[in-house]
Amino acid sequence: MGDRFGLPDLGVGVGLRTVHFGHVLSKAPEVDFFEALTENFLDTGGRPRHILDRVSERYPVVLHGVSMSIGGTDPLDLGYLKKVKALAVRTNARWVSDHLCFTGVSGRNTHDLLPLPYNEETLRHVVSRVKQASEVLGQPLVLENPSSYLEFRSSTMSEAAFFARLLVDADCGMLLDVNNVYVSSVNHGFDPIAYLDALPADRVVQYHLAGHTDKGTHLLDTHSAPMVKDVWKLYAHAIARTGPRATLYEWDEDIPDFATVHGEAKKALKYRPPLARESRVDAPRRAARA
Amino acid sequence: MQAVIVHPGAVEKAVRARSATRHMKAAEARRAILPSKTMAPLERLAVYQGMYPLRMRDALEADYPGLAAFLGHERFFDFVLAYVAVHPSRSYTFARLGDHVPEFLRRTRRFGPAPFLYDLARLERAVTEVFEVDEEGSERPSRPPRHVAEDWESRRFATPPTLRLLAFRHAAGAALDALKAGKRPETRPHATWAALHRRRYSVYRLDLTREELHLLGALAKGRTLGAALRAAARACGKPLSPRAVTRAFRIFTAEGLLREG
Repeated sequence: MGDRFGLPDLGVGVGLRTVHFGHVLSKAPEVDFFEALTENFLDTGGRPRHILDRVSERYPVVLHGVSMSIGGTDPLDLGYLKKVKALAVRTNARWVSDHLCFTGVSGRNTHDLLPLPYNEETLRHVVSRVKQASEVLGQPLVLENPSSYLEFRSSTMSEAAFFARLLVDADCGMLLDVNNVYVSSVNHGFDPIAYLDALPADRVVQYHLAGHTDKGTHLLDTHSAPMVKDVWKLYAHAIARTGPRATLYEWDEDIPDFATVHGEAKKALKYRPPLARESRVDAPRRAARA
Repeated sequence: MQAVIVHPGAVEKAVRARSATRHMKAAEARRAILPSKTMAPLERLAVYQGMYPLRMRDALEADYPGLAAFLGHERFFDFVLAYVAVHPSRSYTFARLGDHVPEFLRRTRRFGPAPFLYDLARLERAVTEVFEVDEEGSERPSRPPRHVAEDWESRRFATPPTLRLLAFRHAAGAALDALKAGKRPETRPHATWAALHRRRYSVYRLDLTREELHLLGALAKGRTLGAALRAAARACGKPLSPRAVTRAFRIFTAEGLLREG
């Protein structure tokens, strides 16, 4: 089953990380797609942008941000959104994603993905902002479920129910992070399978896979290790519902060499078919820089 | 929530701080968060509070590795807490977080020899700026300067858009080199001058004499060679010797800092 936006299955990808820049350019590894952290490339005119330009000439790219603060009470930063759109056009990014969260208030940015209370008021607020952001971006926004470490008493619905309604009411896509589902399910005591089953399958555009750290009293989403078996089981369950979707492995701390990260990502091929040659989405050819 | 997360003290102290209680009383904050099977409400909030300074530290250390090495782990962490309390991030990117570090160090004086730290931080800030400069769209003449004896006074030159010229009261460049090598730097006053520029996406530092800095600075402003030499002479209190001028041009040309204007 395809997603409702007609977006392509990009296969199995990895994050574009500074430590791998040299390897990616010199070795041109066979990777289905790359995910670039949006904020790292918005204001740079030097090597990072050069790298992203070269990568996007050869590979499909998606943009993944952390500062949109879609759930925040400060007005959306239209200047930021326009820059994101410009970067998406420059790189022919297949979609732009961020997180269901807020990052700060009163003009500050904590650079963290802070949780929201899940109730009707928040839903109305976020739907409105998602629609506004999607309009500026010129495409449906894709939102990721963050891992969280607290819940609010003022929530009147589960995160899954909130997300399901948000996806439909705001007509946006979902980046389903199965590790975040697992981490949050342990931290808050909910059934992760029920969470997955509550989501509209045709709204899932992409998956994230990642490792986490057990702190004893809670799990922490650290992106610093191989993914545990229980999370692979969640991925298997989720992808059986949605069908093949772009799947990305996130490794952001103590990053090993490229082959190790890519090897971890390719374990997803146990649960989904490899990208068929005829489905491979080639980046468009562009004139070489003079 | 934000007021508690960014507070440097323990979470119990943070919820009672004025910055938090003006939004919500401490008791209300405890009630607003559900406990989990393993953690009380404030313990859950403390997870976010604990991560905040670590993220700020990592971001500032990435832009100021020399400063981090000079201060050492604990004092650098103290510096980070003090700095972000006054200059919290107000941008979508971490790249702006450290914009005020040099001035903060100059005024604060808590973390070491302030004038030296100011120079070290200025150099590191400039390295980051040069690394990020957007050259796209700027026309860059590709030809090195020709040797032409006639009308030399009226010649102009182009310099790269990534060029930055810096004057220090300390040997900031040597200090940064020492810190990167794991050695203790010289912190006594010693005037130095430097040019930073970018070539093939790598940042280079060229140590200059005072005369070379002023000459290159005047040329970068678009002055003719004659006017630039006069400006440098005024700044240095005496004309540049022919030998100094020849040496300067040899260095500037070898580094690709001068092109036909």
